[in-house]
Amino acid sequence: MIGRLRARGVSIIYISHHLKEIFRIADRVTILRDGRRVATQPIGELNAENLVRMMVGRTLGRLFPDRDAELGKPVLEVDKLERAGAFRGVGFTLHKGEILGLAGLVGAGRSELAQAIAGIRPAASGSIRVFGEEKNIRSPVAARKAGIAYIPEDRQHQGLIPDMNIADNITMTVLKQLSRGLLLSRREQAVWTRRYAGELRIQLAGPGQLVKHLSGGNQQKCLLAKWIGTRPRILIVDEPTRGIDVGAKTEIHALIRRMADEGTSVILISSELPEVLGMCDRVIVLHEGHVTGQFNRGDADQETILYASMGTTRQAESGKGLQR
Amino acid sequence: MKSLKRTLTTHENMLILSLAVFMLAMFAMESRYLHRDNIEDILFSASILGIVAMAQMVVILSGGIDISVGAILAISASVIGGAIQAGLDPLVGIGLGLASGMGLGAINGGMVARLNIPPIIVTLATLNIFRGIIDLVLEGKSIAPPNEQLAFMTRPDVQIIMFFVTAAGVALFLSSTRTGRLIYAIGDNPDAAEVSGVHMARIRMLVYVICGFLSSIAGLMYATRNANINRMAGMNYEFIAIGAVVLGGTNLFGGSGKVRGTVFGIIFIHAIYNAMVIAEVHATLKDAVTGLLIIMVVSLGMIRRRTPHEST
Repeated sequence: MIGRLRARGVSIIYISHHLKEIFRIADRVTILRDGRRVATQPIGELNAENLVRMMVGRTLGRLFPDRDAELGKPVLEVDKLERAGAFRGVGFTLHKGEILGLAGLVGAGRSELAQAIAGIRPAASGSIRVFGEEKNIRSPVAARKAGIAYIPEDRQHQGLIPDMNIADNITMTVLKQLSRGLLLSRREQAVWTRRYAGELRIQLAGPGQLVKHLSGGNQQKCLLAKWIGTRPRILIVDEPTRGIDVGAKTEIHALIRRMADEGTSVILISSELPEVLGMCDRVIVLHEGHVTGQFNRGDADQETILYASMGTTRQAESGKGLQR
Repeated sequence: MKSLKRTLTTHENMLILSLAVFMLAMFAMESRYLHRDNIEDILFSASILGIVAMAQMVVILSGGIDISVGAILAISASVIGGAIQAGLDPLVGIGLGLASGMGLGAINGGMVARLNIPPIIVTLATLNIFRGIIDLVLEGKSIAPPNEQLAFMTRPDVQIIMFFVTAAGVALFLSSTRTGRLIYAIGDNPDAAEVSGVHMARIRMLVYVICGFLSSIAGLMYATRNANINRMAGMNYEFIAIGAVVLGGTNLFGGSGKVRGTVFGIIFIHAIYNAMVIAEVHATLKDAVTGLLIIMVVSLGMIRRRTPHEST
């Protein structure tokens, strides 16, 4: 189709991150990164390796806290997890105190996988074992009982209750603990809220402030506070720092790290490769619902993850059209 | 000054203010209007519907709606009246009546929470089914229970106290219990509540059971107050109740609203009915006037919401 158009003399701008397509189709390539043009070169002067290098850039600072933890025993074992159209044959093990990264492009099935483990949209087949015990997690209630907390990507729709105040939002998951007999203790609710607001440095006017009037970063911290209070054994965070300012981002990174150090096992989903590389002990890469790469800390860099994200280590690249 | 302005701009306070203005205006035209007896009359006539409105409010806050409340009232009133007429102990009759209300509520709740049928459809169906049962059982006759033992309950002051005590109970339940807070949460953002591990089905079920229970308390008051209980009992109460809830500032789609608003909403509606009687306006215009009032107040609220406020 594109070849025919070209034969007729039509000029084509083809936007893609599918490397094979680009090498097959393009005459010249312009690479953009962070909204800036990095280079424009004839295709003949490029190979996959230096193309990716230009896409990624080489200016990684040490933004992340140091990490060299010993891995504990297995906490979550996922095997052959499958749901049509989302992910297939996914298996991995999460250890105590480990931060496991889930990388991949948007639409690779990362959030779907996380939501399956969290019982929001359960998998069709496969097994999930928590502390060696087989669990059938069919609902968020069941996931919570298994000690799994899921902090969704979509703060507005799946995260907070916008018209309720900070205290009601943060304590929503722990209301039972804050009740005296039948009645909820307002005072304990306020004490709890101040404690976690302090711990997470949430900037608030008071526990009665509505969450919809908070900034994105503070909303995200409220969402974290809501779940951290339940003392989860497994914490799944989906794009925890998207759309928030750098200060809040650093604080959230430190918080996740602290929780892992204290023994919580974390699955971190992020589209920001520096975040994945900086935070995680291990990284799993998904591409079109399959695991296409597994790396230990130090073994992976942005390039290898990006290759795996695009499935170029496998021959899956041209299969995209066939699956639909 | 600013805080005064903010106090005035909450919906409930606006409503109370308009009610006060309305009553004073009526007083200026007719001095009997603010007489103690007349005020008692307004509150007495508002008390049954006030409790039905509480029932409705709890459901609406959770994001649902129950248009079978009037029919539940009629069934529970008939059960109580029928039991007493049959010679049962009045307390047994009351127990049966309240249980029937909760049972009917559980039927609604079961269909909404377990079968995931939209509440408007469920309760429209049950409204007709419950009304059908009443017609079948009463066969056009009416129940006239001899209720000497419950005579004290027919007194206006007792009924008004029952209304306010129930309202206070519902307010405490909504603001200070786990379930109460979660009712607001599932009404405001059901997706977030579900992801947070809230047991959605359990709360939805409970909401309709509570609604049935409160409707049957209204049924008890109805049974003691009316010498005859017939098929017309509680007819169209659902619409007046929804009107009072909306008038009181509760979001019709759930998530926000205060008991205080609903209380004054129903009082406002009855203050207008009362004024119409005094002004000798034909009673058939009652519903039309209620409709107009709702449109007026809700559109006022819309206008206010469009103007920028709350610079926190």
